[in-house]
Amino acid sequence: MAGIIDDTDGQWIALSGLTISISLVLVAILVNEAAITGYYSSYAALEFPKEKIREITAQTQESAKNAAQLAWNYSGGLHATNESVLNNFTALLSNYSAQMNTIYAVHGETVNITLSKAVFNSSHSIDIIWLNISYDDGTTRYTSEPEIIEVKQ
Amino acid sequence: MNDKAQIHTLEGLFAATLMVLTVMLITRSSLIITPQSELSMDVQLKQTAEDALAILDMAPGTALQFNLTELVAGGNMTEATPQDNSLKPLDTEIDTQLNDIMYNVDLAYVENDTLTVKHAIIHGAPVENSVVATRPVTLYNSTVTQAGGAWNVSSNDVKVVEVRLIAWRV
Repeated sequence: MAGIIDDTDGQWIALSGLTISISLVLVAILVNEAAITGYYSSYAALEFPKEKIREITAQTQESAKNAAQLAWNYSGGLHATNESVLNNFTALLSNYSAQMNTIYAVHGETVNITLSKAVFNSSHSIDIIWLNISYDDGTTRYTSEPEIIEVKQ
Repeated sequence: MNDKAQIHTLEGLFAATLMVLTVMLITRSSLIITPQSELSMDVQLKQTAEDALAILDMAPGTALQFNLTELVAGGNMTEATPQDNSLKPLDTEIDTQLNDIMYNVDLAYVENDTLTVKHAIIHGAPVENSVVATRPVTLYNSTVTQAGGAWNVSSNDVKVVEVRLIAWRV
Protein backbone atom coordinates (compact mmCIF):
# COMPACT_ATOMS: atom_id res chain seq x y z
CA MET A 1 0.00 0.00 0.00
CA ALA A 2 2.96 2.23 0.50
CA GLY A 3 3.31 2.38 -3.27
CA ILE A 4 -0.18 3.77 -3.72
CA ILE A 5 0.22 6.45 -1.07
CA ASP A 6 3.63 7.57 -2.22
CA ASP A 7 2.81 7.53 -5.93
CA THR A 8 1.60 11.06 -6.75
CA ASP A 9 1.79 10.74 -10.55
CA GLY A 10 -1.20 11.26 -12.83
CA GLN A 11 -3.19 13.61 -10.61
CA TRP A 12 -4.27 15.74 -13.58
CA ILE A 13 -5.61 12.63 -15.30
CA ALA A 14 -7.53 11.65 -12.18
CA LEU A 15 -8.93 15.17 -11.85
CA SER A 16 -10.02 15.37 -15.52
CA GLY A 17 -11.70 11.96 -15.21
CA LEU A 18 -13.66 13.18 -12.24
CA THR A 19 -14.63 16.44 -14.00
CA ILE A 20 -15.86 14.62 -17.11
CA SER A 21 -17.88 12.17 -15.02
CA ILE A 22 -19.56 14.93 -13.04
CA SER A 23 -20.32 16.79 -16.29
CA LEU A 24 -22.01 13.68 -17.70
CA VAL A 25 -24.18 13.37 -14.58
CA LEU A 26 -25.18 17.05 -14.87
CA VAL A 27 -26.07 16.64 -18.56
CA ALA A 28 -28.19 13.58 -17.77
CA ILE A 29 -30.09 15.48 -15.07
CA LEU A 30 -30.64 18.36 -17.51
CA VAL A 31 -32.02 16.02 -20.21
CA ASN A 32 -34.31 14.44 -17.64
CA GLU A 33 -35.64 17.80 -16.48
CA ALA A 34 -36.26 18.93 -20.08
CA ALA A 35 -38.20 15.74 -20.78
CA ILE A 36 -40.40 16.17 -17.70
CA THR A 37 -41.05 19.82 -18.59
CA GLY A 38 -42.03 18.83 -22.14
CA TYR A 39 -44.34 16.12 -20.81
CA TYR A 40 -46.23 18.45 -18.50
CA SER A 41 -46.47 21.29 -21.04
CA SER A 42 -47.81 18.91 -23.73
CA TYR A 43 -50.27 17.39 -21.27
CA ALA A 44 -51.47 20.85 -20.26
CA ALA A 45 -51.89 21.88 -23.91
CA LEU A 46 -54.03 18.81 -24.58
CA GLU A 47 -56.14 19.11 -21.45
CA PHE A 48 -56.90 22.83 -21.34
CA PRO A 49 -60.08 23.43 -23.42
CA LYS A 50 -58.89 26.64 -25.09
CA GLU A 51 -60.38 25.82 -28.50
CA LYS A 52 -63.67 24.65 -26.99
CA ILE A 53 -64.17 27.95 -25.17
CA ARG A 54 -63.25 29.92 -28.29
CA GLU A 55 -65.61 27.99 -30.55
CA ILE A 56 -68.51 28.25 -28.08
CA THR A 57 -68.19 32.02 -27.72
CA ALA A 58 -67.57 32.62 -31.44
CA GLN A 59 -70.49 30.41 -32.50
CA THR A 60 -72.80 31.92 -29.89
CA GLN A 61 -71.97 35.45 -31.03
CA GLU A 62 -72.66 34.58 -34.67
CA SER A 63 -75.83 32.63 -33.85
CA ALA A 64 -77.20 35.38 -31.60
CA LYS A 65 -76.75 37.95 -34.39
CA ASN A 66 -78.52 35.71 -36.92
CA ALA A 67 -81.25 34.79 -34.42
CA ALA A 68 -81.91 38.49 -33.72
CA GLN A 69 -82.37 39.12 -37.44
CA LEU A 70 -84.54 36.02 -37.82
CA ALA A 71 -86.70 37.01 -34.83
CA TRP A 72 -87.25 40.47 -36.32
CA ASN A 73 -88.19 39.04 -39.73
CA TYR A 74 -90.49 36.44 -38.19
CA SER A 75 -92.20 39.07 -36.03
CA GLY A 76 -93.25 41.07 -39.06
CA GLY A 77 -90.19 43.20 -39.84
CA LEU A 78 -91.06 46.88 -39.72
CA HIS A 79 -94.47 46.00 -38.23
CA ALA A 80 -92.92 44.08 -35.34
CA THR A 81 -93.10 45.07 -31.69
CA ASN A 82 -90.31 44.86 -29.16
CA GLU A 83 -92.25 42.23 -27.22
CA SER A 84 -92.85 39.92 -30.18
CA VAL A 85 -89.22 40.20 -31.33
CA LEU A 86 -88.00 39.49 -27.80
CA ASN A 87 -90.31 36.48 -27.47
CA ASN A 88 -89.18 35.00 -30.77
CA PHE A 89 -85.52 35.74 -30.01
CA THR A 90 -85.79 34.15 -26.54
CA ALA A 91 -87.36 31.02 -28.06
CA LEU A 92 -84.59 30.76 -30.69
CA LEU A 93 -81.85 31.29 -28.11
CA SER A 94 -83.41 28.78 -25.75
CA ASN A 95 -83.53 26.19 -28.53
CA TYR A 96 -79.90 26.94 -29.49
CA SER A 97 -78.79 26.67 -25.85
CA ALA A 98 -80.63 23.36 -25.35
CA GLN A 99 -78.99 21.85 -28.46
CA MET A 100 -75.52 23.07 -27.44
CA ASN A 101 -76.09 21.65 -23.97
CA THR A 102 -77.01 18.21 -25.35
CA ILE A 103 -74.09 18.14 -27.81
CA TYR A 104 -71.47 19.11 -25.22
CA ALA A 105 -72.98 16.87 -22.52
CA VAL A 106 -71.83 13.90 -24.62
CA HIS A 107 -68.21 15.06 -24.03
CA GLY A 108 -68.82 15.39 -20.29
CA GLU A 109 -69.04 19.18 -20.50
CA THR A 110 -71.81 21.56 -19.55
CA VAL A 111 -72.67 24.64 -21.60
CA ASN A 112 -75.31 27.12 -20.53
CA ILE A 113 -76.34 30.17 -22.51
CA THR A 114 -79.02 32.52 -21.23
CA LEU A 115 -80.27 35.96 -22.21
CA SER A 116 -79.54 38.73 -19.76
CA LYS A 117 -80.74 41.81 -21.62
CA ALA A 118 -81.63 42.99 -25.13
CA VAL A 119 -81.50 46.60 -26.28
CA PHE A 120 -83.84 47.59 -29.13
CA ASN A 121 -83.56 50.42 -31.65
CA SER A 122 -86.38 52.57 -33.04
CA SER A 123 -87.21 50.04 -35.81
CA HIS A 124 -87.86 47.33 -33.15
CA SER A 125 -84.86 45.24 -34.05
CA ILE A 126 -82.27 44.20 -31.46
CA ASP A 127 -79.15 46.35 -31.38
CA ILE A 128 -77.24 44.93 -28.43
CA ILE A 129 -77.57 41.53 -26.77
CA TRP A 130 -76.27 40.71 -23.30
CA LEU A 131 -75.78 36.97 -22.86
CA ASN A 132 -74.50 34.85 -20.00
CA ILE A 133 -72.24 32.06 -21.25
CA SER A 134 -70.84 29.40 -18.94
CA TYR A 135 -68.74 26.32 -19.68
CA ASP A 136 -67.50 23.62 -17.31
CA ASP A 137 -65.63 20.39 -18.09
CA GLY A 138 -65.10 19.38 -14.48
CA THR A 139 -61.58 20.83 -14.40
CA THR A 140 -61.86 24.17 -16.16
CA ARG A 141 -64.74 26.53 -15.55
CA TYR A 142 -65.29 29.53 -17.82
CA THR A 143 -67.96 32.18 -17.52
CA SER A 144 -68.60 35.28 -19.58
CA GLU A 145 -71.30 37.25 -17.83
CA PRO A 146 -72.21 39.28 -19.69
CA GLU A 147 -71.04 38.57 -23.24
CA ILE A 148 -72.04 41.77 -25.01
CA ILE A 149 -72.88 41.32 -28.69
CA GLU A 150 -73.45 44.21 -31.06
CA VAL A 151 -75.84 42.89 -33.69
CA LYS A 152 -75.18 45.53 -36.34
CA GLN A 153 -71.38 45.15 -36.23
CA MET B 1 4.58 -7.46 -12.06
CA ASN B 2 4.90 -4.27 -10.02
CA ASP B 3 2.64 -2.14 -7.84
CA LYS B 4 2.77 1.10 -9.89
CA ALA B 5 -0.24 3.02 -11.25
CA GLN B 6 -2.69 1.73 -8.71
CA ILE B 7 -4.29 5.17 -8.42
CA HIS B 8 -4.88 5.09 -12.19
CA THR B 9 -6.63 1.76 -11.84
CA LEU B 10 -8.84 3.11 -9.06
CA GLU B 11 -9.56 6.22 -11.14
CA GLY B 12 -10.64 4.04 -14.05
CA LEU B 13 -12.92 2.05 -11.79
CA PHE B 14 -14.42 5.22 -10.33
CA ALA B 15 -15.01 6.74 -13.78
CA ALA B 16 -16.58 3.51 -15.05
CA THR B 17 -18.96 3.44 -12.06
CA LEU B 18 -20.00 7.03 -12.72
CA MET B 19 -20.59 6.28 -16.41
CA VAL B 20 -22.74 3.24 -15.57
CA LEU B 21 -24.77 5.35 -13.16
CA THR B 22 -25.20 8.04 -15.83
CA VAL B 23 -26.37 5.51 -18.44
CA MET B 24 -28.82 4.04 -15.90
CA LEU B 25 -30.19 7.51 -15.21
CA ILE B 26 -30.76 8.19 -18.92
CA THR B 27 -32.28 4.74 -19.52
CA ARG B 28 -34.75 5.22 -16.70
CA SER B 29 -35.63 8.67 -18.09
CA SER B 30 -36.61 7.11 -21.42
CA LEU B 31 -39.92 6.06 -19.83
CA ILE B 32 -40.75 9.74 -19.58
CA ILE B 33 -39.13 10.79 -22.87
CA THR B 34 -41.25 8.38 -24.97
CA PRO B 35 -44.73 9.62 -24.00
CA GLN B 36 -43.45 13.18 -24.09
CA SER B 37 -42.66 12.92 -27.81
CA GLU B 38 -46.00 11.16 -28.47
CA LEU B 39 -47.89 13.84 -26.58
CA SER B 40 -46.08 16.57 -28.51
CA MET B 41 -47.19 14.96 -31.78
CA ASP B 42 -50.76 14.67 -30.48
CA VAL B 43 -50.75 18.36 -29.53
CA GLN B 44 -49.44 19.31 -32.97
CA LEU B 45 -51.97 17.10 -34.79
CA LYS B 46 -54.89 18.34 -32.69
CA GLN B 47 -53.88 21.96 -33.30
CA THR B 48 -53.63 21.32 -37.06
CA ALA B 49 -57.10 19.73 -37.09
CA GLU B 50 -58.60 22.55 -34.98
CA ASP B 51 -57.00 25.13 -37.26
CA ALA B 52 -58.35 23.42 -40.39
CA LEU B 53 -61.92 23.63 -39.09
CA ALA B 54 -61.42 27.20 -37.83
CA ILE B 55 -60.08 28.33 -41.21
CA LEU B 56 -63.01 26.73 -43.01
CA ASP B 57 -65.46 28.33 -40.59
CA MET B 58 -64.03 31.83 -40.46
CA ALA B 59 -62.28 32.44 -43.78
CA PRO B 60 -63.77 35.34 -45.77
CA GLY B 61 -65.79 34.62 -48.90
CA THR B 62 -62.95 35.84 -51.06
CA ALA B 63 -60.63 33.12 -49.73
CA LEU B 64 -62.99 30.15 -49.94
CA GLN B 65 -66.04 29.67 -52.12
CA PHE B 66 -68.05 28.08 -49.27
CA ASN B 67 -67.46 28.23 -45.52
CA LEU B 68 -67.97 25.35 -43.08
CA THR B 69 -71.62 26.24 -42.37
CA GLU B 70 -72.50 26.34 -46.06
CA LEU B 71 -70.63 23.09 -46.74
CA VAL B 72 -72.49 21.30 -43.92
CA ALA B 73 -75.82 22.89 -44.90
CA GLY B 74 -75.46 21.37 -48.37
CA GLY B 75 -75.38 17.82 -46.94
CA ASN B 76 -77.84 15.28 -48.32
CA MET B 77 -78.30 13.62 -44.88
CA THR B 78 -77.27 10.16 -46.08
CA GLU B 79 -74.86 8.01 -44.10
CA ALA B 80 -71.44 7.92 -45.71
CA THR B 81 -69.69 4.71 -46.69
CA PRO B 82 -65.96 4.24 -47.34
CA GLN B 83 -66.77 4.28 -51.06
CA ASP B 84 -69.20 7.18 -51.03
CA ASN B 85 -68.82 10.31 -48.89
CA SER B 86 -71.97 12.32 -48.32
CA LEU B 87 -70.15 15.68 -48.16
CA LYS B 88 -67.76 15.72 -51.11
CA PRO B 89 -67.21 19.51 -51.22
CA LEU B 90 -66.25 19.47 -47.50
CA ASP B 91 -63.94 16.52 -48.15
CA THR B 92 -62.19 18.49 -50.90
CA GLU B 93 -61.70 21.53 -48.64
CA ILE B 94 -60.40 19.53 -45.65
CA ASP B 95 -58.11 17.50 -47.92
CA THR B 96 -56.49 20.76 -49.02
CA GLN B 97 -55.92 21.76 -45.38
CA LEU B 98 -54.64 18.43 -44.05
CA ASN B 99 -51.76 17.22 -46.17
CA ASP B 100 -50.54 13.69 -45.38
CA ILE B 101 -53.07 13.34 -42.55
CA MET B 102 -55.86 10.78 -42.60
CA TYR B 103 -59.27 11.86 -41.35
CA ASN B 104 -62.95 11.02 -40.97
CA VAL B 105 -65.77 13.48 -40.40
CA ASP B 106 -68.90 12.84 -38.34
CA LEU B 107 -71.87 15.17 -37.86
CA ALA B 108 -73.65 15.25 -34.48
CA TYR B 109 -76.96 17.03 -34.02
CA VAL B 110 -80.08 16.93 -31.87
CA GLU B 111 -83.19 15.44 -33.42
CA ASN B 112 -86.36 14.79 -31.40
CA ASP B 113 -84.44 15.59 -28.21
CA THR B 114 -81.86 12.86 -28.84
CA LEU B 115 -78.35 13.17 -30.19
CA THR B 116 -77.85 11.70 -33.63
CA VAL B 117 -74.38 11.04 -35.05
CA LYS B 118 -73.89 10.37 -38.75
CA HIS B 119 -70.72 9.56 -40.67
CA ALA B 120 -70.19 12.18 -43.36
CA ILE B 121 -66.69 11.33 -44.62
CA ILE B 122 -64.91 8.01 -44.15
CA HIS B 123 -61.27 7.50 -45.15
CA GLY B 124 -60.43 4.54 -42.91
CA ALA B 125 -60.35 3.22 -39.37
CA PRO B 126 -58.77 5.65 -36.87
CA VAL B 127 -55.63 4.39 -35.11
CA GLU B 128 -54.81 4.50 -31.39
CA ASN B 129 -53.30 7.99 -31.39
CA SER B 130 -56.13 9.71 -33.27
CA VAL B 131 -57.28 13.14 -32.17
CA VAL B 132 -60.72 14.73 -32.45
CA ALA B 133 -61.32 18.38 -33.31
CA THR B 134 -64.86 19.72 -33.09
CA ARG B 135 -66.60 22.85 -34.31
CA PRO B 136 -70.31 23.68 -33.97
CA VAL B 137 -72.16 25.31 -36.84
CA THR B 138 -75.69 26.71 -36.78
CA LEU B 139 -78.06 26.06 -39.65
CA TYR B 140 -81.15 28.07 -40.56
CA ASN B 141 -83.85 27.35 -43.08
CA SER B 142 -82.41 30.02 -45.38
CA THR B 143 -78.88 28.57 -45.15
CA VAL B 144 -80.07 25.06 -46.00
CA THR B 145 -82.26 26.25 -48.88
CA GLN B 146 -79.43 28.35 -50.32
CA ALA B 147 -76.95 25.46 -50.08
CA GLY B 148 -79.43 22.94 -51.53
CA GLY B 149 -79.20 20.60 -48.54
CA ALA B 150 -81.71 18.13 -47.15
CA TRP B 151 -81.74 19.29 -43.49
CA ASN B 152 -85.16 19.63 -41.92
CA VAL B 153 -85.07 23.11 -40.34
CA SER B 154 -88.29 25.12 -40.09
CA SER B 155 -88.27 28.81 -40.95
CA ASN B 156 -88.40 29.93 -37.29
CA ASP B 157 -85.92 27.41 -35.89
CA VAL B 158 -82.20 26.76 -35.62
CA LYS B 159 -80.24 23.53 -35.91
CA VAL B 160 -76.86 23.20 -34.18
CA VAL B 161 -74.58 20.67 -35.86
CA GLU B 162 -71.25 19.63 -34.38
CA VAL B 163 -68.62 18.83 -37.00
CA ARG B 164 -66.26 16.18 -35.60
CA LEU B 165 -62.97 15.85 -37.42
CA ILE B 166 -61.13 12.67 -36.41
CA ALA B 167 -57.50 12.91 -37.58
CA TRP B 168 -54.55 10.54 -37.40
CA ARG B 169 -51.15 9.98 -38.97
CA VAL B 170 -50.13 6.73 -40.58
